[in-house]
Amino acid sequence: MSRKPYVREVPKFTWWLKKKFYTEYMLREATCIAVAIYSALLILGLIRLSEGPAEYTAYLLAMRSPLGIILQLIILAFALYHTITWFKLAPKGMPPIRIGDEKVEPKMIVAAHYAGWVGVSLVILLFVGLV
Amino acid sequence: MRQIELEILRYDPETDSEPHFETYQVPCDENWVVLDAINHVKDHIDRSVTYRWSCHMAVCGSCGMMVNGEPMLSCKAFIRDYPGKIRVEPLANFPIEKDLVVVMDDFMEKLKASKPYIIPKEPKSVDEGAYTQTPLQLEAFRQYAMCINCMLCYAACPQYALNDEFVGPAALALTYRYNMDSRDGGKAQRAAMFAKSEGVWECSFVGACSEACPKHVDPAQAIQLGKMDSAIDYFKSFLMPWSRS
Amino acid sequence: MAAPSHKPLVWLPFAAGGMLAAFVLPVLILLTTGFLFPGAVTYDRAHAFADNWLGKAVLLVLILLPMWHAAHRLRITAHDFGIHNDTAVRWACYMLAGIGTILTVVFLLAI
Repeated sequence: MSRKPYVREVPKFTWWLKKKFYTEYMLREATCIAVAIYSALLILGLIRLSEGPAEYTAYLLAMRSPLGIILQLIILAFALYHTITWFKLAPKGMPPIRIGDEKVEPKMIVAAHYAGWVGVSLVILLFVGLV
Repeated sequence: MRQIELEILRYDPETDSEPHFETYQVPCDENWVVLDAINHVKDHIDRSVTYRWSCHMAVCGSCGMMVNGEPMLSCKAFIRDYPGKIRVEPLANFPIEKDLVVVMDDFMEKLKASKPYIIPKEPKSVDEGAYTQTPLQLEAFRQYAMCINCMLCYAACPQYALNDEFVGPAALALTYRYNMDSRDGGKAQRAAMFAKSEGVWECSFVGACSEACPKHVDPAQAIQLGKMDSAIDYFKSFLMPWSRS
Repeated sequence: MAAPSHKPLVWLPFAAGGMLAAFVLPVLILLTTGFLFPGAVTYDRAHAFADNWLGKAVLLVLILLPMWHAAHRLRITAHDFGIHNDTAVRWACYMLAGIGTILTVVFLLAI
């Protein structure tokens, strides 16, 4: 008996199209492009802010032009997908939490993240709305 | 009784240059699992079909294969859950030895390197009594101790598919399991394979391993917590060089 | 013996930035688009916010952590496309994030 193992090649560029689970993972990873672009937009805003009122106002108008809105809506869609996927995996990213003898269910941890998200968003909106 | 169409990926290293599918008509009982159908082929249709199995009850971990593209224990994959034809292939990401049998040398090496056994902090003699543990200490790792080394997680893992230097889900989860054991003192000995680039850091948290695991081990969680643990050790070794073990 | 990986250096900002981005990016975008409180980020208010150390610290964290998160994730994505000898990718991702970091610090101090 001679051994002649057969190796099945994995397509390096397209493996993630084979299964929905993998495709969702790649989409999750792709959210980083939107986050990177938004970071760049924020840094640009910071530069314009240091330059003076006219420059900053022009920046803000550009951000609120149809093109700026469309770009930010796309970024928002990716940002929301990032939030959803990040929270979904959160229970796997932290040590098990116990209350008394009971282990806290993963879905409770996810729910707590969503509650925190609503809370943080409201605090930020209250801050900018009132202060 | 239900007649199913069963496609089996066949590969004979002595005669074939590449694998091909062969289709079998199998009369199945309603309560059969895929392994029963393959056994029927072996017993009544084609004696040359080669595959591994032993316990038929999801304990031995030897009958893992791809069932309609998903890594499954064929003893746990019920025919009734597959309305159409059923296609079985050897576990993905491993070389095919023959038919449904894969070469598992790579996994065996990694399993050995992870030192999946208790390395006591201080060896005790029998007279000194047993190594005791509280239920809470047991809970710290119990889930990860359920691994049956069936390799389904390796077949599910795209990072292992892209780079077989990756230590992989089961071996890393078992390393973490022993690191977390209150009776164990072998963490430093396992650190070299655990904290290296091809250890926990090769994982990108796809999470497919935990979906595939038939014993709910959740290797993805073990690896994430292992990253956290390794990161803490890493920064400790800079901030407090004397703590380096 | 294999040396421990230096990944923790980039993984911790990645994890922290991912968490921060998940919690604050959506609401932040609603503000910069002007969908909510369109008057909240005008020049006077933004300048007043960035004019003190607390405001500068908040902006620093808000801009840099998600950016480093994105940089590291981009590197991983290249890896997912089979680029394993990734020195060039690594340099590109982390250098861009480094430039972003310098710009952020410099212009925060300039305000």
